[in-house]
Amino acid sequence: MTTRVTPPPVGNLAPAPSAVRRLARSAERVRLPRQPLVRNLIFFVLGGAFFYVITVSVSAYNDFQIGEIALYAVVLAGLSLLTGLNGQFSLGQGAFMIVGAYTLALLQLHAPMNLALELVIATVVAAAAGVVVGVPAARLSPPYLAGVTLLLALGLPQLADQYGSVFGGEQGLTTTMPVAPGSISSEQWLAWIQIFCAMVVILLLANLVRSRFGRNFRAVRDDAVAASISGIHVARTKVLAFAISAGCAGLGGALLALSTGVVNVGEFPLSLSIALLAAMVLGGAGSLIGIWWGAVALVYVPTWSTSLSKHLSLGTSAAAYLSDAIFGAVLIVAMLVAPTGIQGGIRWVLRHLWAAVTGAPDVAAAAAAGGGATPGAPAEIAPVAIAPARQKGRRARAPAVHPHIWHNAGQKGEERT
Amino acid sequence: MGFFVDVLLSGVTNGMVFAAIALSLVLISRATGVVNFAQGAMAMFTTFVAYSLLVQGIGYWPAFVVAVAIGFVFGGVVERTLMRPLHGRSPLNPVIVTIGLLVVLEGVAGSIWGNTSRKFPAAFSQNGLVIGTTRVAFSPFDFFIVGAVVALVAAIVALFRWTDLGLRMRAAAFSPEVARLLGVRVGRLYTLGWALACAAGSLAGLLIAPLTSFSPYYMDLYLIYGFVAAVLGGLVSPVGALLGGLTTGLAISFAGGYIGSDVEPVAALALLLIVLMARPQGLLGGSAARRV
Amino acid sequence: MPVEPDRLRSGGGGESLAPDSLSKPTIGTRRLSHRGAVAAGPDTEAGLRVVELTVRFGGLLALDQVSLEVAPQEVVGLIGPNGAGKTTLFNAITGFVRPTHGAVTWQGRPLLRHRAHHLGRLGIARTLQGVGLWPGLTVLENVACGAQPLLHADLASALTGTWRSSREEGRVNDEAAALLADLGVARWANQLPAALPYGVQKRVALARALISRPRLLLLDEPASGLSMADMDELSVRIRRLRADMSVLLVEHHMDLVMGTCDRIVVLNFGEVVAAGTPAEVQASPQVTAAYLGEPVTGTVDGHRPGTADGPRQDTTDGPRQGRAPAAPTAPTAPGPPAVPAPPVVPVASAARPAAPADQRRGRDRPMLRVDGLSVRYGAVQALQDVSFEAADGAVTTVLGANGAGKTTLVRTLSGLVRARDGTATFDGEPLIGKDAETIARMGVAHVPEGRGVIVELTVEENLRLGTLNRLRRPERRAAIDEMYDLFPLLGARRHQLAATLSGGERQMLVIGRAIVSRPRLLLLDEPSLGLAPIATAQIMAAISELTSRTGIGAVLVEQNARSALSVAAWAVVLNLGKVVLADNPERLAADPNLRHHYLGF
Repeated sequence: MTTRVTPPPVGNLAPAPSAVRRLARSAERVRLPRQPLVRNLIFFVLGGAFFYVITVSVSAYNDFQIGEIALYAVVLAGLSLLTGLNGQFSLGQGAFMIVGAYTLALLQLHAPMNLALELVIATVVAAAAGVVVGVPAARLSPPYLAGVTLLLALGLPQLADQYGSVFGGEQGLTTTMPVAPGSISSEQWLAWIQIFCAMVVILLLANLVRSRFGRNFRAVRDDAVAASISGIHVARTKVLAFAISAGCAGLGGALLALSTGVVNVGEFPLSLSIALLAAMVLGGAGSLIGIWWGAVALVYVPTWSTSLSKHLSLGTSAAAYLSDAIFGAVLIVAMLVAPTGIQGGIRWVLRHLWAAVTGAPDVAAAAAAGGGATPGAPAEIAPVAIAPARQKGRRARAPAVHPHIWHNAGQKGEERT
Repeated sequence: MGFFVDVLLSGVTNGMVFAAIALSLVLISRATGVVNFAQGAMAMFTTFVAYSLLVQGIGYWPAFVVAVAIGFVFGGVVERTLMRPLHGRSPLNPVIVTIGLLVVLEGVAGSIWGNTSRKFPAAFSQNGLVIGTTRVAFSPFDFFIVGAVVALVAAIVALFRWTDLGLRMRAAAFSPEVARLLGVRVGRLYTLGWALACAAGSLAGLLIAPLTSFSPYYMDLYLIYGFVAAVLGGLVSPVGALLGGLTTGLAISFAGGYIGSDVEPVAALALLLIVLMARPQGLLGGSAARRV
Repeated sequence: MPVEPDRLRSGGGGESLAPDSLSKPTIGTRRLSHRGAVAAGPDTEAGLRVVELTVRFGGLLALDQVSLEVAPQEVVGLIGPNGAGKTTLFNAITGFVRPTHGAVTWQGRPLLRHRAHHLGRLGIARTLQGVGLWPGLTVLENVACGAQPLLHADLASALTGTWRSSREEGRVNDEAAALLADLGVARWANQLPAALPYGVQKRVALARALISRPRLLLLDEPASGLSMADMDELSVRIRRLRADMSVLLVEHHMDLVMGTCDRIVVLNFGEVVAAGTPAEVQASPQVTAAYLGEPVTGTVDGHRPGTADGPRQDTTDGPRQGRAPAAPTAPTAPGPPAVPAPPVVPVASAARPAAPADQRRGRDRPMLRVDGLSVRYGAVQALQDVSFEAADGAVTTVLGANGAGKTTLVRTLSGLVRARDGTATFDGEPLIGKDAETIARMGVAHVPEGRGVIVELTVEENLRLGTLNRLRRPERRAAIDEMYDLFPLLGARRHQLAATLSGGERQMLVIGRAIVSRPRLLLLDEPSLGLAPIATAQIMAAISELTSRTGIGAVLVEQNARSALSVAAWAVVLNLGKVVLADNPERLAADPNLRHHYLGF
């Protein structure tokens, strides 16, 4: 859940109409329970109820889509934590999805067991792969990390082709749909499983974000040097974030395998990883609510682009290309115009509304500066003026850096006699 | 023995091609700190334009020149419109935009030209030369590749070392603030840097196209290999790109030849990780000083 | 130190701190046992000991056998001019820089093998230069994060949100809130730090360091950017902290240092030049020399530079035009040992080619006029209403302690920094609002702090770069050759990479690079930084000779006041971003206020 900032008591600024203010004041007093677990459980139950109501009232095909949205939400939750909260940039989520998917398929093939157990194992295996990649990745700067994970997304699937005897070669492996109890349709049952997984993952991550680990993620993202001075083990924090996101991707991949019934390399192309990134940015990096926007986009954009390409009478294969192009365009536009995504936009609107109602404009301004969690959140001041001096050379462009920061920062260190 | 030589030679040829891509990545990265992940897609696009021209009957060399020229303009335009607004903010944003651009270009190319694999014609014969009685895995076209890339690197080195423009570009890349104080128009040089880099990328795209099945995705892997080559070389110098390219090309060739072609990307990944673990700044990169 | 583990387990969370005492830990249990105990053995020193610490960066000796001690409950101040090695010392102690030789022990245990994030567990906390707060975290979260060394909730309980994690979080938040209240910044607890007043941010950073109950607190320039009132409050607070910990602080503001510290250690060029109580340090002539610099001619303190050598100067008001250079000679007073013959120093010569006509103005209208200039960096007011004039053919020097705003001033004039208010005109044309490239092409040559040598280029290439700006192609070769005549040392190294040059040679190179573009105004930022006195003397002489020969004006920013005053025709002193003194150099050199603004006494 989002870490909502409760504004401090209103000061001495221009008053809004008194009735509205009284209402706002009483709303302030109605605080949600302080315990994050209780608060998150409330959302868990409410969300679950919401989905239950929806799934029983729509068709089987829609259930299938809702389930897909849920499984993408699982993947995006992990990615949002990794990139939005911890600042590590991964284009390789598709690779971890494949790990989870193949693990599930292999288990079902060779050692079938309780589905829950299979999903847990798939998650754990993917998380372990995340540790393996995360340890070297923790030392890399963003563009290098992007390149390494891109290579991972391209290269890992090909391993499955290389060892075709194990992984089923180009055909891949098949998975079996879980058997629904009673008279519930199998699509609905699968959707419930996927939704349940999504709610559980989000619950766990929401708790984590509120804990010291979540705080450490953000501290490492903003300024790793200050973090290590404060006692945070930077490398371990980054590897943890990586492992968690890989585990989420693995679980999502396994759930996707259940949805599609087949696991092969073609299901996880590079464009999937990029689409995941675009969906996360669209929804709002770092926001556990925003991921749902992104998940909806992931499921519906291909559908829409199919109808769009039919409308424009392009070829049949053009639909896939169009869908990819849309995600790419989303990335570009979002970075240039709205780096905080949809959720960031909503938060902005809500904050300004709140400020207007309670008459505390400085809160809105203060809350707007820094944004909180996105890689590109526009800040009034270049993020932590220390940062340019700590990296070599290149960042020297930003003119607003206080010159103090350059003193003794080692920039001129080589030049003293 | 023959197999070994073949693998070696194809490693050299591949290496040259990776070096060309690495060179474009290095040019942009050194000047502006951005890794242009869309480089491959941009090259693919200009090569497809060349293909369209060829299909319409225009000669090979005119189409070649046109493609490189379009690459030049394309690079400048991208810098001016997409990269410039993002200057000075988080270094992550331009990288994300280049990835978006990658996908958009592939999507648009796919929509226009479709998915079918084609064969892009080569300027020279692609049959291996015959030495004595054996056919070696090195064709006239491979000669052309090696020659073209070496000429490209030499031209870039000459530009940087002997011309005033090159001096300004180097100053802008090494110390942009000091360069500004000396009256160097750093912004314009960034645009020029991008333009040159994308022209080099277009050249690489034209050299690669005959080597593989020509589809909108054909540059994906090559971009990555070029990235590995650039990182190995330290992302700093054209010569580094060349050496990095050769290393990567040979490593991939041997992995592919002796294990299987599907492990090539993983071999590249392993090579990259090993180098970065040992020297996070690349083989030829400067010392990685940590500053507080 | 009382340790009460029971309070932690049985729901005793939420207990606030008594405002004046930070000595009762309420969070974290297991590790406290060996932190509370001060002595690990019978003869253990209970403080910080730095023994002959040496740090070398390549060929540069940043710290040279530095030794110091900080006893428990003592406040030690570390001072020294810019570039003396103070932050390097901090970095070496806290594990960011590996020393070449020497040892550091804390409470008897060697410290150097520890990585930075281990230090919290050992009871060491550090603040950073500037502020160093995480912009994406609220103030409360920033502080709570600092308690990391004391937090032990495991991952599982964090994921499930169960009591161990949430209870610990609750306690941390309460303690952080109490600490913020103690520091007077509680009302901003839920805000992001970026928009807060600078003094508030600094206090939050202090809270973040304090929450982990350190026994040793390292403060890196805690007073930079603060107002006088905030500085007084900081001083009081540091004195109070003494009761619970040792404090080692690096600072430039002498008032704060002298008033707060029990002992002071003075660094210069990486060496300890003086140590003792504030009174002792104030009386030490080495300290005065380290900060104010040596007089260029090596005469005894109080003697007017130039009286022994050049013609007497007028003492009328206003900026003067043209001054004979004070060429350095061998010292006339007994004292420093005879120095080896310095390398060739440029001397005015009638055989020089005439400077282009547009550089000889010979009028009284000042070339550079600054009026009401104000600059803000976010929350910090770096310059406030600065006004002065600089004439042709003379050096105008801008002096002041570190952080006074001198560098900001020249960066604003050269276009790298945007001014909020005020105007600056150069020869009638406005400077504010233009970008740096345009200003450079107007003929304003800025030699930045840290010299700005492009080390990846050769000497020749650096110089050639300077000619591309304003000279036409045929003139460039001649201009470069002229520079080699002026600085033969550079000529000898023309094809070497600039990285191989020493500091003094680099300074020559950048001045040459600036001159070669035929500038009309020179802006020099601390050219003597890190240079030995001989090299400083040469540089000053070169600058002086240049301005009088070519008739261009120069604004010389310097921390080394005496050498600057010996070549200047007019002097302006900044403090906290404002002009506090502006006068004739002779009067200023004898003015006790100058010493006060630098040294606080």
